[in-house]
Amino acid sequence: MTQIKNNIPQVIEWPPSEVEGIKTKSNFLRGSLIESLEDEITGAIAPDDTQLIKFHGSYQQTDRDLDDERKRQKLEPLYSFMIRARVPAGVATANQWVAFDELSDKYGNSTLKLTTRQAFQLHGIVKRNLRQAMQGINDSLLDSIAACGDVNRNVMSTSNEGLSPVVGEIAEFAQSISDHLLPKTTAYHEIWLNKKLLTEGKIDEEPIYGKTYLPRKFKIAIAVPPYNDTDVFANDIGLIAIVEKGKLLGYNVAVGGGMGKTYGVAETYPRLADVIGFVAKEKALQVLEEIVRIQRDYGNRENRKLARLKYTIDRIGVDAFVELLQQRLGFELEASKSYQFDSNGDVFGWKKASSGKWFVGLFIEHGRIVDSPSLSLKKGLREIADLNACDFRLTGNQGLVLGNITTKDKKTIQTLLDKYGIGTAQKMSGLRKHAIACVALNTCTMAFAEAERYLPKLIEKLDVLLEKHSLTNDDILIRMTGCPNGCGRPFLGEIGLVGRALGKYNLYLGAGFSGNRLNSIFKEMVSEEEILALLDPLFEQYAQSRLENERFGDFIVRQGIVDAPKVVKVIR
Amino acid sequence: MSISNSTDVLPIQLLGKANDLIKDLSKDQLIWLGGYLSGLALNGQDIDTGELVNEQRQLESNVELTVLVGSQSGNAKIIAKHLSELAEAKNAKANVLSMADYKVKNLKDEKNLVVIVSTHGEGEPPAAAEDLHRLIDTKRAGNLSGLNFSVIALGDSSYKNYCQTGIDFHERLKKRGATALSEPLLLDVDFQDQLEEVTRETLKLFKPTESNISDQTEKATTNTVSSNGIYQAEVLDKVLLNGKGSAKETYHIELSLEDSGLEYQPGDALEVFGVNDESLVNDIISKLELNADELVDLKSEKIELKTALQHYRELTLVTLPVMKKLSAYVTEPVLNTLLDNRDELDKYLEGRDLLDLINDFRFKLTAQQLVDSLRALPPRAYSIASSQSEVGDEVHLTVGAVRYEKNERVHEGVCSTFLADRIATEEKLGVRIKQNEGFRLPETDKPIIMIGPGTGIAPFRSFIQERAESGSKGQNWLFFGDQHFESDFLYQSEWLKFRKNGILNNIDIAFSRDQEEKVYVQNRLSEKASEVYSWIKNGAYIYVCGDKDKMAKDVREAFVEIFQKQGGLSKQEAEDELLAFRKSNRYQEDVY
Repeated sequence: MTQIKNNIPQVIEWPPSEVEGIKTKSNFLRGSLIESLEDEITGAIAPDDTQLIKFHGSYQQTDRDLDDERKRQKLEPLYSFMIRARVPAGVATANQWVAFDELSDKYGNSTLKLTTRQAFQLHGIVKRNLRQAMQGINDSLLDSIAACGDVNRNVMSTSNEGLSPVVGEIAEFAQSISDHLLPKTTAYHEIWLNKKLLTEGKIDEEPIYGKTYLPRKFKIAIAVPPYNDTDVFANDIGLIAIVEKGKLLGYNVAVGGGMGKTYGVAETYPRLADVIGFVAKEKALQVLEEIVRIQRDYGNRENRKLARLKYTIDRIGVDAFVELLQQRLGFELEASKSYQFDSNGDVFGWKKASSGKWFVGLFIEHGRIVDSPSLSLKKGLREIADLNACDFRLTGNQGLVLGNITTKDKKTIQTLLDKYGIGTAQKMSGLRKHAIACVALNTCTMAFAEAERYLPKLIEKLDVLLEKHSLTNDDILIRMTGCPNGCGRPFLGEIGLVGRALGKYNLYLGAGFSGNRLNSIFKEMVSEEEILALLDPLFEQYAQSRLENERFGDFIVRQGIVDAPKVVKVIR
Repeated sequence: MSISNSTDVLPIQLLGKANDLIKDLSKDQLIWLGGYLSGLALNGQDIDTGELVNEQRQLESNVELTVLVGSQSGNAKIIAKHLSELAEAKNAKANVLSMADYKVKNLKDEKNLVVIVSTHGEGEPPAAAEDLHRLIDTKRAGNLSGLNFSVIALGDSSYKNYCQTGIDFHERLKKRGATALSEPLLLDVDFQDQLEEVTRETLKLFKPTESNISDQTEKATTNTVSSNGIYQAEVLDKVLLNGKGSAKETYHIELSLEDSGLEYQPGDALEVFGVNDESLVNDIISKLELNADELVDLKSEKIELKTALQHYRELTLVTLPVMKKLSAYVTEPVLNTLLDNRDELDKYLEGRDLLDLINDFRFKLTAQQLVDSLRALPPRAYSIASSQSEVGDEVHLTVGAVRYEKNERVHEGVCSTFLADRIATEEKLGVRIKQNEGFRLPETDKPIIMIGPGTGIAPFRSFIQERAESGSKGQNWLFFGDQHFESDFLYQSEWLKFRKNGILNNIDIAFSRDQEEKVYVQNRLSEKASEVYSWIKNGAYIYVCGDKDKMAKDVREAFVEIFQKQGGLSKQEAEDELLAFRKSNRYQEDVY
């Protein structure tokens, strides 16, 4: 337990975890990455470097479908790398879209993944192509620095300007947060771009992070009510924009959110951020930096499973945390202002922004940009990007918004969307429209079960049940992940399915429709057959006994079908 | 009271010992012992008198345990560490080994074994245990009747096949004749609470090793090798080495030489007696309008034509003498013209088989004439890919399947496709060792440079295994090449292990189709010219294995160039130098 002295929690000297040791001796994230890249005999990098490469925006993965087979074949696993590019607020240009489209064909597996945190992911890049791929990303004026690793990750923000006049300003703020909290090490430039930025004898400095960076990943998101499409409460820091008469005043600050947990470790849990007060927009960056610094100083550096800000806050107590923050800031947060979130989903279709430009929200199944026999999604979007008549905005729901379109170009773009059948969610069930799935098998090293490759098939079967109970057009949030680390924010699904083993999931129910309430466990280790058998009667009850406009998750909770789940707490 | 009138059953000395033993016992104790002994006899068990006499000092002291650990999350390792510490405190010895590094063939030499293994997913073994888990269920494990064991199985009881891997080990060891000292001990995720108890109880199960017990299981050597050196070897394993997406088809084949007494040296080859493809035989017979069942004379026996062709006659190659003999049964003059022109004939015969020939010309001959015209099916020799110091009574091969399209039909190499397609594990095939004195490792302290692209890698696997096992101090440098890094890096995981262990000092690779311009092993040699030359100056021996026509020639040229540029020699001098190297066995080739 953390000791409190003079109202201030005392910093603990943790015996460092293995990863802390790797960071310490890495010389600001260099490690032996250059030697690892130059070792031609293996497609892998050195074990310590697999930790460090995350800070450069990449994960080493294997094709898990082939792991057993290749072991028999006396081949090492089929190693490849995922690169995640940081796109603050998800706003990318048409040229950047073209660049990623080409990189995926040239070095990757010819697909792009739009992530739940508004980033691009390239998959399947083999080691000998990794540098060229990084350089290609850099040439597009994006980069992958701090897209993964124990630092502030991609900053999320509502990106559809058709939804609110302040979205543009907030997206810019997301960019400045991202810039401000970016690691300052020049290791990235040396390793990937062959640029030596440090003059002889000088070493890197990290004024905010220090040489061991943060104890764990750190996530920031901004949302503009009533849209919580970035799921702010699932972040270490969530900012809720407070807008009055079309003008942005500042933000309610929520702290300590996070999805991940570890099976069998009871001390781990998903947690929603607590709202701790309001800050005017001019002072918001200072508040963010100070929270990052507190987490740097107080976070658990012994056990990575307990190192997120949420555990720091629960350990020292949220009141003590706020006290500490205010002391360090030298000013107090104001009382939080009232806000109302209605949904955490995307808004599909055309919207006109106050600037007069058009924005169109598109449905992209699980964010995977790929050409399939039934849908030439990648080809179609590439053709639109080649027009250079819009920008490409990634949403927090693995979706896409084409933005800043003139009235003149609107028709051309709609024609192309029609030609390729892209983005039309009209014929889909409300369940499919709101579905999120993480990558999972076959590339994610952490997955216990399928997610992206399987959820569409499961939804086909669930749609049959929904139709039986006349629920096809009801919006229901379903989220599936291959493991409990929570990339797909499964603990915020009205129906959450979290992988336990191949073909087996834990079924969670009862989250709020606007990301304001976690779900609770309903049944562990269920197969597809069991999932269908368990949900069928619940759909039936919901269809028959719901109140007017009552959401599925709310109904589940009101009926007491699961234990009362945790809701967002407003501290002040 | 004493035992009397029994000397015809029990020799007098033993009787004396028995009397000594029981003289202090009470009446009740004697009655009990009588029942105990007759019970043992009735159950047909050997009375381990050692056990009876020594019960008092059979505590844990002096016990030597081998502890095999197959860990997923590290929990199994924690238990092993605990066990070994406790053993040490009790003056016993626990040798903790990871299953990943353990050879299944060593099991039969173990006396006391503790298996600590976790289970993950739906009853699957952890990665480190996969191989042993599989192999222990095969003949490889050998006869384990001398082994006492106990299994500690870790698992998560929320999964269906709780602790399944541990249970598998228990069952499989028992199946191989080992003695289970207890039922498998199943530990759940909360095992930490029982750590003390588990290790203490496990250690108690084992008795001290009798150091002077002679190995009574004398190896029954049944001589199964025929007078011409041919042995029927069982296929133990067959694996396609090329990964998904490869254009190549290279097999790793493991054969058993069990009880054959056959021995081979690194560098030797194995002759394999293949069998022709049945459909090719059928096509030939029907095209010639012969009868498959017709009996023909072959080696003073009468056998069916089909059998004769399939097992004893070469069909996939046509040689000049065969062609000449067959020409007697062809009426067309074209064939005779062809026979008069050697160059044209060679060109014609290249890649053609007997079926091509009888498709091209009209033959009229009897079954006997056909069999008499064809040559005997010779065995094919493959460079051996294993060292006996590593694999014991096994022999491993690296075989590239030969298949090519000609005359709108797939042609197949008889033996490589026999091995690839027509023989399965547990089936037997005829083999014979073929010595190759022209391809031998030098003294153990000499450095060696090995160049073996494609299946040319085979003897170098043998070389490296040999050098690893013999603790050779000589440096080793391997050059390997093929088409693609991801799918065609033959034995990659083994090379990585040898590199990590410091056995393989240098390894250079050339994958021809991973970049725009094609790169081959000879290019890599040239790139490393100065280092290669300094190895040569340090006495390195050079070995080349693989393609004769192109690769071996290019590699020789690369060395001539190295001698020229690095040694400052003229082209002629450099060529003479290479020749001198070949004569003194410092440059050896096994090319085909």
